[in-house]
Amino acid sequence: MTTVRLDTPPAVPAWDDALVAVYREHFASLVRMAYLVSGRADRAEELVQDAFVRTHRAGSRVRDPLPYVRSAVLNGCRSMGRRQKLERDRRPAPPDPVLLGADELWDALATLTDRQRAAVVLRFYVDLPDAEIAAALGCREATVRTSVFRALAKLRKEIDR
Amino acid sequence: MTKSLLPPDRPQDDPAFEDEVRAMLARRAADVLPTSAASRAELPGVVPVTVPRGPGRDGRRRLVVAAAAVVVVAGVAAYAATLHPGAPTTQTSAAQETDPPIVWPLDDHVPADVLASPETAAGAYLSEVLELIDLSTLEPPVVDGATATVGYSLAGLQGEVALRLDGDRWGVTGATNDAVDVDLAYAADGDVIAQLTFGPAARSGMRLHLRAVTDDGAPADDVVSVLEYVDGGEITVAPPPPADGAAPPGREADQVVLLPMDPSLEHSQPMLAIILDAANTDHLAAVRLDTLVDDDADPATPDIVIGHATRALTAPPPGAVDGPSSAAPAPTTAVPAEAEAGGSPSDDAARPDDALFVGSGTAAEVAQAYLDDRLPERPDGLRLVPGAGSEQGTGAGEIADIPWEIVGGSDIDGRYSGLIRLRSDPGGWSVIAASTDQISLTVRRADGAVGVTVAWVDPGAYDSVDVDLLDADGFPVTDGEIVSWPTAGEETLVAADEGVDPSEVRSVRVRHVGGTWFSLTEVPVPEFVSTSTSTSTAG
Repeated sequence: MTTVRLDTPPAVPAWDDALVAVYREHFASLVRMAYLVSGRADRAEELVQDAFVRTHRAGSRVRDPLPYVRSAVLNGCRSMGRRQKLERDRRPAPPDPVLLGADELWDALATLTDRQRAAVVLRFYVDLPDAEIAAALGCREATVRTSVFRALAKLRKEIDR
Repeated sequence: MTKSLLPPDRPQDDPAFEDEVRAMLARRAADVLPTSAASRAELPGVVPVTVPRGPGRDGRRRLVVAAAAVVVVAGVAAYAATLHPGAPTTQTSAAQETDPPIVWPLDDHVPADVLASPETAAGAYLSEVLELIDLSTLEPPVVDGATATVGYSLAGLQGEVALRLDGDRWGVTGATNDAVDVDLAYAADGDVIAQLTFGPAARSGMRLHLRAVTDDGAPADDVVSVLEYVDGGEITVAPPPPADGAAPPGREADQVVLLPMDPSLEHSQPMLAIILDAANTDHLAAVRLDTLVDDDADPATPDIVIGHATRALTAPPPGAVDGPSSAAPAPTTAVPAEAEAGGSPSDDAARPDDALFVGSGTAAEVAQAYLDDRLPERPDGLRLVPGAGSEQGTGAGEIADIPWEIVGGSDIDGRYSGLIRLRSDPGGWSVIAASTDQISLTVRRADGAVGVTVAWVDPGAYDSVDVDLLDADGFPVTDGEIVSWPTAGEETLVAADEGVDPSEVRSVRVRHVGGTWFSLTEVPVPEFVSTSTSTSTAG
């Protein structure tokens, strides 16, 4: 009934090549996505690098590296956000001092839940279809639609204040 | 089903506002210039994962078999807990109602004046169990009535000794550290089972030395294991080196390793369970764990100890011994043949409180109905293993475990399997838990909140999961929104201030791990009591 995996599957060279290709082609855009989702310019690159390391460790179990890396980045953003949340005793994260400016929509983005923010970034920045957003977030397409709908409503409400 | 899970189709578009959002994101994204993307030729920080030589075939078989034993123990415990959701577990009730047992000294070899203060008692204990301890690092004790803690530093890492005043003498009740701790230890059926937790100071290359301590305080040399970490993902199992070249007395030590997560993760998480095979556990009182690393300055020198932990053996968790599954009576009465197979989470007024779903027919038919209800959009290839659960229920409480698996041709990667556990109740078969191999879930109610702890055994998994809190009808109480993403091994408390009424939550389901690992694990939430209770399932 229970399987305990004792080995990390040996990396397949072709798979390594695929991962390297994803890295070369998508690293920059993934860093930007990580920044938009996490709000942390200083951590975005680290999050993406960590995601690649994790994907590499997952080995050939991952058939298509890009969605896997993307999910790993999003999970890293969530985990970092949760840790920050705990560390700050639920106080909202201060805006990045380097990027302070009169961008109320950007500020409003920080009021969204993790899922809402990720859904907004994946739809309006990465331009993914709902099916791929759902895969990246581990939810149904209907949930993606709901998340985006609620996010946009909240953003409107925030900037109308 | 009485209501739809599906939200409305995409809501009314506001293209202008969406364009505004799109422009803002593009503008902000341009703020970030990845420092070295263009110039990197190789993946950063990726090193080949060393696969150390593992145990031989026999050893592997033993690992798998013994790991299965751990899962069975945990599963049986989960079952027992689901049978009695209001009853506190042995651990919680014991901890709250009795003083923690003293694990040192267990005889009179320590002079009374040494035990007169927590400071001196802690110092004496550390001197006895650790050869090289700088007692000048001992911190002033923090005394709270009849208990005290004394902090100290070992190889630069923080440790702590807990003590209790017994009469006029202080005794050690436990020791913890920032590297690896013992979360739980108990003896059952000739085994000593220790669950370890990795702390923030855990690192690759650690060697874990776990041994049992007898009720007279002496280390049990025949109940010992030495485990070695390699590259944060693999463990080799090495036999304990005999002190005098002779074979260790008693039976050979046996170890069970549930593969750990990456110990470099920042947070602690339960990752490792060890079983020590003991000829006789009656005389055992505690376990001690030393965490060692190489002395980098001089490889020729012995390893240095960076952490020490000790914990008393407690009573086994409910169900860990003589599981009710095996003790359940065999079916003797068939459900009327005209009963229609199927079920519902809510249409039966007599539905037991701990049932996730009830239905009539064979166990397999009810399990299938449960799948249809919970996972209408389940992956291709997800099926119940044929041939299991063909019996009708008698209503006498017998248990049926229906394995599920995802077979070839699935639209998701990986190999997944688990169990759906059912109980024959007077109203039909009740689904009382669903598990996914390698994923464990513990749920409790406490202080008006629902506490969720998820852990799994996969070195490639991410430290985040998707969890649904389900109401009595099996629908997410947040209508599809995920309240939080618990981190592995850390309890996430979901309270009313997160927009959820915890009293509505009847069960908790793990849907994904790391966004990629499929799961249908689900357990009921124990009813609220003033002290915490828990139910759990392990894959």
